[in-house]
Order: sequence, then structure tokens, then C-alpha cells
Amino acid sequence: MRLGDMVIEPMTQRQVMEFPYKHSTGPIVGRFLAALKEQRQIWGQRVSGGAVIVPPQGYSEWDGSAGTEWVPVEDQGVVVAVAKVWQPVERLHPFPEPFAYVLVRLEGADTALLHVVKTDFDHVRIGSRVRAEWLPDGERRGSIWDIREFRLLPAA
Amino acid sequence: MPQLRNVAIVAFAQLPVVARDEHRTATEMLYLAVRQALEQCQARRDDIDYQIAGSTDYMDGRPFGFVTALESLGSWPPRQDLHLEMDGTFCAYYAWLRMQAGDCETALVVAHGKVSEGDPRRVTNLQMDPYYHAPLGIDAIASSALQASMYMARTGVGDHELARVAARNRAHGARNPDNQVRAVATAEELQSTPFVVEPLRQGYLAPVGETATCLILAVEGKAERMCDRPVWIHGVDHRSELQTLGARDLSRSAGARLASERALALAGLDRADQVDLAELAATNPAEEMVLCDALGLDPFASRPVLNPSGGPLCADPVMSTGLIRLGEAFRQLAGRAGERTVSGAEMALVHGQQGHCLQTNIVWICGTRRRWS
Repeated sequence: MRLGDMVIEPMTQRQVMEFPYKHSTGPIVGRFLAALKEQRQIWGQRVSGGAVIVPPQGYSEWDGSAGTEWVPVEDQGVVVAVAKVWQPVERLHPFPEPFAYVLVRLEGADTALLHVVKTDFDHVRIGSRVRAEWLPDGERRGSIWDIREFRLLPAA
Repeated sequence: MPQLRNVAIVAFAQLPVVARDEHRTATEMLYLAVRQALEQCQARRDDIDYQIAGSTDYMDGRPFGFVTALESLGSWPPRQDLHLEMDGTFCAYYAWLRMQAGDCETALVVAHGKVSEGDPRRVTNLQMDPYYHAPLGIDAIASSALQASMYMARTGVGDHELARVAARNRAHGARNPDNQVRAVATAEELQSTPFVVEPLRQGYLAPVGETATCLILAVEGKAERMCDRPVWIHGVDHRSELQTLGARDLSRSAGARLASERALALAGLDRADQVDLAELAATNPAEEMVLCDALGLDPFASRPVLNPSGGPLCADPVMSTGLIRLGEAFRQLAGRAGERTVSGAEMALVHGQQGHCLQTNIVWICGTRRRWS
């Protein structure tokens, strides 16, 4: 039989790739993460015009001017956006059960921090007040996950 | 306004979008699209001065994956070539710029990507920064849902309006044989599908699919010889804004607004609703409404006709979705849109985007007549 006349079923070649990366955190992100670990404190950075950026980048994402002084902000604030993940995806999302992504404007900050609400997530809405739930001392390792989640505070 | 070089779309080819083409490699798909486009305008490979491709290595599963595209295009003798890790619509913009610079007269613009071979939601997660966003596992559907929540809170738009926008796209899309989803669905049906990431329901999300696309551009003098009804570029503008989700007002698209204002001004138009149809690269109905807000379009008006192709809700092949919008404008204005033809259409607005929550936008204005005399 000529090869061109042969009927072949669709085939695939399986390739599994793993590329571990080690990203430097630099002096700005590094300080922010170190403070989560060492101080249980969230810090922002002031930029031109006086706004406080949280999380900090070392510069203003709006006009590119350099970040100036470090400013401590509260670990509680107001939800400004909420996305409830009812169908979590394995190897992508952090939990197998439903949860919510939230953008939280912390008290003292002018931008919003992305994080999750897990406990009672179905009750969170825009305008809800939430507070960081920290990992205990000894378990924090300098990561955005040093905050376990944000939890709903009772309505004021 | 400046006097620019008249540039026209003279051909567009795509493979019908499917969830998975198990019979072809990504570059075999691209090869077919390129050959079809060249045939449409009776061009030989050597007639094309410049080539540019859009793809992303994370989807292809190999670094510098564009070199395979380079080969399937036929790159001997050596070609002037460029690759962008962006949707093909942005590639068309760079080809148009080269033509304005005067160093090429014809260009092959292609996009490819076999999303079914990898894990697209994980790829959209890896688009984010590795410190503050990506470790949380957020992907483009979740960030779109954050945007939808902010838009709905600001405007009071509700679930039912999203369903109506989705249903309109589905009704139009049933007439487009290149679509992955061709079943009509009513707003009530779509509104009863489950939430994937609330406020976005299954029925409001674009299907994951793949294709390959090829668009050919040519300058005045050549375009008329390559196509009986070339579609002319009247204006274009491209704007990017910052990525950090919490530093943006996601309920608005400042970039789409500015790009459309500049593109309309270049085209000599005052308002977006002066066109006959618009093709918007919105991957969910909330995003489409954010865009309409930015462009000054009414998502429920009968004219301009929005997404006569069905839009990305009926076919969203990553890297080609924006180029297909431009190709659709060509097919509409060149009389090749078959059953989905918008009667009497002479002008079209075309939108393309990249990134989370409309981070980067491009707006084109196209017409049946030359822009500059």
C-alpha cells in the first residue's frame, strides 16, 4: 500500500514540560513581602500627587514617577470588585471548593489589593468590609499567601 | 489631519474555528490559511514584500515558536519578517505602519495558535506578575468577572442585560459558517446557565477554540489589481494601559475610548455610531458593554449592527480573535459575508484587544472608498 492511501487515526505526541523559575523580588516587592512575614504589616508606597500604592511597585503605574516614602496601611478595608469562582479549576485556582477573588481598598491606600475570600465568600459584595486573616508566626514565608484570606467584618 | 498613504485589505482567509483540530498541526493550519488568502487575490508568494505573525509561545508549547510559522509561510529568499506576541490585529497595525513609512507595498498578516494542545486558563494566569497576582491563581475569566462586577455596580446594569447582549451575539453568530458555536440561544436560556465565575455565567463566556488566519494588505495602486472591492483603512489607533488590576477603574476602558477618538478623527468621523457595523473583540457581554460605553455605542440599538459575525462569544481563537474582526469588516464591506451581510454597509469600526480587562485596545475604521485623494 502506498503511504498516501493509508488511513491513519489522529495521533498525538505527549510532552510534559517543567520550568521552575526563581524570580528575584527586588528591593520594593521584597520589602513588602518581608514585612508581611516579619511584621504582619501591609505597607504601601507614596507616589507623586500623594497617592499611596498598595501593593507597591517602586514607581507610579500612572505616570511613571518614582515611589517615595513607605506608608503603613491597615489590614482591613472595603471590597471594590468581587468575582465568585463557583467552578474552581484544578492546578490553577488555590482551593478545590468555591471561593471569591476580591479587590480590597485597604484603609490608607489609594489602589486596591487582589486577594481571596474563602469563609462565607457567598456573602461578600461590593462595599463589604473585610480584614486580613494572617498565617501564624513561624508559618509566614514572605508571600502574598502570608495572608490566608480576607474575612468579612460585620456591617458597621 | 495628516495625508496618509491609502492602504487596503485585499484578502482574508481563516479555517472554521473548532474546539480541537486533531488532524493538523498549528503550522499546517496556518499554511492552508495563507494559501487560501494568496489565491483570493491571485498573488504569488514573491509578490508579498513583508510578513508579520502573531502567536504566543505558551500556547504553542515551545519558545521562539514563530520560526515554524516563518517556514510555513515560505521564507526563501530571506524575507522581511516580524513576530508579535499579540493578536494578529496588532500585527496588521505594524504592517500598516511599515506601509506609511514607505518601505513595503504588500504584507501578509497571520495569526495562529492551537489552544487545545495546552492549558489556556493557566496561560492567562501566567500573564500576570509573579509576586502579587499570579500566585493567587487568577485567570482571565476571573479578572473579567471582577471587571463585570465593577461595571454592574457603577451602572446598575443587571444579569438580564448581559443575557440580552449574549443572545444578540448568538443570534447573529448562527449565520456565520466559520463559528465554533452556531446554535441560537435566547436571553432566558443563557440567563439560566450556571455561574462559572459570578457574575459571568457559562452562557456568557467565549468558547475555547482554534484556527489560523491570514489577512493581506496592499497600498493604493496595487490593492485595486489584487481585489475587485478592496476595503480601505480610514483610521487606526492603539493604546495600552497599566496592568495592575487594583490600580485601574475596570468599569471603564480609557484605552478603548482614546483609541476610538483618535481613529475616528483620522477617519474624519465625529462619532462611532456613524458607521454601519462594528466588530468588537469582547469575550463576554459585560466587557462588550464596557466597550460600548467607551466607544459611544448603544449595545441595544439596531444600527450600527454590533458583531454581525456573532463576535467572540461564538468563536474566540486566541491570537486570531482580533484579526478575524478585521477580516469580518473586509468580508462585510467587500460583499463576501453571505447570509450575515449587513445591507448597504459602507463603513465599519473594528476593535481588538489584548491582556486582562481590556488592558490594550486597538480601533480601526474601514470603508469601501479610499480615505485620502
